[in-house]
Amino acid sequence: MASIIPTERNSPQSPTVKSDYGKRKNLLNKIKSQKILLLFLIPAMIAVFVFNYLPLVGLSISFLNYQPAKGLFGSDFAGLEHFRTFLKDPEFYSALKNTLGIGGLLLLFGYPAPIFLALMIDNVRNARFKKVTQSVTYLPHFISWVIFSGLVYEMLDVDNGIINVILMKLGIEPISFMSSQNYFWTILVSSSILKEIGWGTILYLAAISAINPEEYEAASVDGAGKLARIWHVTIPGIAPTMVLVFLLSLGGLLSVNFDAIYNMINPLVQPKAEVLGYYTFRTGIMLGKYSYSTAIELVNSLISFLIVLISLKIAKRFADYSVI
Amino acid sequence: MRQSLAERSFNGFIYLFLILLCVVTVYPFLYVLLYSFSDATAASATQITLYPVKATLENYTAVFANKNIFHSFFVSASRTVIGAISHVLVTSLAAYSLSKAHLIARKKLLVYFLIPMYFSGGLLPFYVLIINLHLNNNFLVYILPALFGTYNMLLFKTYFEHLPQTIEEAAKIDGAGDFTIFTRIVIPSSMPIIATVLLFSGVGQWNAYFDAILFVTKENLMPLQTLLYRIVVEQQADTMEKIMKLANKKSNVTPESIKMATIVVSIVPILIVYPFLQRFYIKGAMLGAVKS
Repeated sequence: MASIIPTERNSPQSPTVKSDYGKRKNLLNKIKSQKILLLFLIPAMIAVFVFNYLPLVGLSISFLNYQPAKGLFGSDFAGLEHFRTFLKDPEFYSALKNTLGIGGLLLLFGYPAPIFLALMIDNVRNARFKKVTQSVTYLPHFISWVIFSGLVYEMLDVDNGIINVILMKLGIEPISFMSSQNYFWTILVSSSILKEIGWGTILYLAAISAINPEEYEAASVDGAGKLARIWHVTIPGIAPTMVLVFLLSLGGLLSVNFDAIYNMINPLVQPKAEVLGYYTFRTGIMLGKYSYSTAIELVNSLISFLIVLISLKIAKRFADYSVI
Repeated sequence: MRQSLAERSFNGFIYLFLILLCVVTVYPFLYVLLYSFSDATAASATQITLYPVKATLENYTAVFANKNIFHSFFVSASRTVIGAISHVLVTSLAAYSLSKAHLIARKKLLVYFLIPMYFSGGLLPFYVLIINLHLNNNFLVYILPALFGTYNMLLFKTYFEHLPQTIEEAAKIDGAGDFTIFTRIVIPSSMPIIATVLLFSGVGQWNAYFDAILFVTKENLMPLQTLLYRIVVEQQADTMEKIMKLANKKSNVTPESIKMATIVVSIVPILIVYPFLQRFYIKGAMLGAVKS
């Protein structure tokens, strides 16, 4: 679209070409007048350089046979060897399968859950009840996964966990949930949803409160019932937010919450619980295969980056569309 | 307005569902709380419902008899306060400069700060970096990597851009430099966003456990959450044994009951600041939404 309108880049050079000397002097003056502003940037620039850009350089470990004692420059060059190894490793494929499975389930159920909850909370007329519900459902967001996983394990305990107590009351044999591979995906996905469902409603509730009340009145006059008003007024009103959140959660598809896995995993469920993030942690840090695990991280980062890039493109198009 | 039967049952369903969700959310916390105040042997034999069994403070006595927990609490509190304040300082300073349209090379600088949001080196290169910087077993490993945050920088930047420029301009005419303007005018009028980011990073620091697992082996640098990880998730025998040994020999504590009491101890600070958290956090989340 931009190509239709002549841009400045295409327009001829400005007629008043300054001498190189003048330009430099001008820049120096500008720097002088902004020296405090530039000084303000220095701590952040250093921090970002050290902790964000140096690790990008560190990704080159994946092309070496990195040995900590020899350092980045002393280690032998390995080429694409580690990439070939992990592509042949069945453990890698198992981790990939778990990542896509859990990530997919989280997208399928975790994404719409806060939308439904927001619609429900919005329909509560009792202000006090509304406030209590919000306070209670936001709380788990602030609790670390260390504690939250502890709570989940307690609730699912074979002997004393509430779930099994209820099952036994119903005459069903107690189930050892956390030692069976069959349940892990369900447990992880549902506890993740329970932890973040309330927090996820905030954006939607904000979008709902921005809808013009007259639209609801108009719909009522036209004879729309409650459900019809939700369908024809509320949902179209929050649609841009819904699309945006969806695109943002797409970017996280390959990076299933590491904290959740790290705290919920145990040796019995490992074959079903090991996602890519955990696999690189285990092989890289626990087993010391630095280069091998960095190779996986490099590919993972690239794919995630591509997904984010594509979703941003779509978001931009959609946002432009919604403005018109 | 009269409601039809369908609407009334729809409303009923909503209330029922929300009550159920609240019960499911609160019950685990309540259970841990009651268990921590119960006699350990009695609690393991029955199902606790709405009150503790054979109420006792034994579990807490055992937890607090352990110096490690006290010390870890102190480490966590220090990293929370120091980490949050230094994060706000570094991030807001950069955001202020970037909020000025006339800043030299503003676009290039913005790109420099935004790239890490989309592409990261991942765990291993970060691990290698920290080891090479000799930050392992050093308190600074909790502070330095968390000095700057792109997301919070954008929150600050948006806020600063919406401050009325007239006062700043007037101060400039009176001869005030950028530093004076920032400390005397911008900071006092940005308290809500400062509080928001302080809480954002404070909660992050309080809940962080993984950095210590990766980089810290010294007992006296262990934050509370990492200690909890050892007790709750790893069920580490020696950590537990140490605590049990220190407890009164006659007392009835079990690993399970100590776990519960430690969980409560770590949640209480979050609950104390929870009202503020809610107020500011929601504002922050919404600001983020406006931005995106």
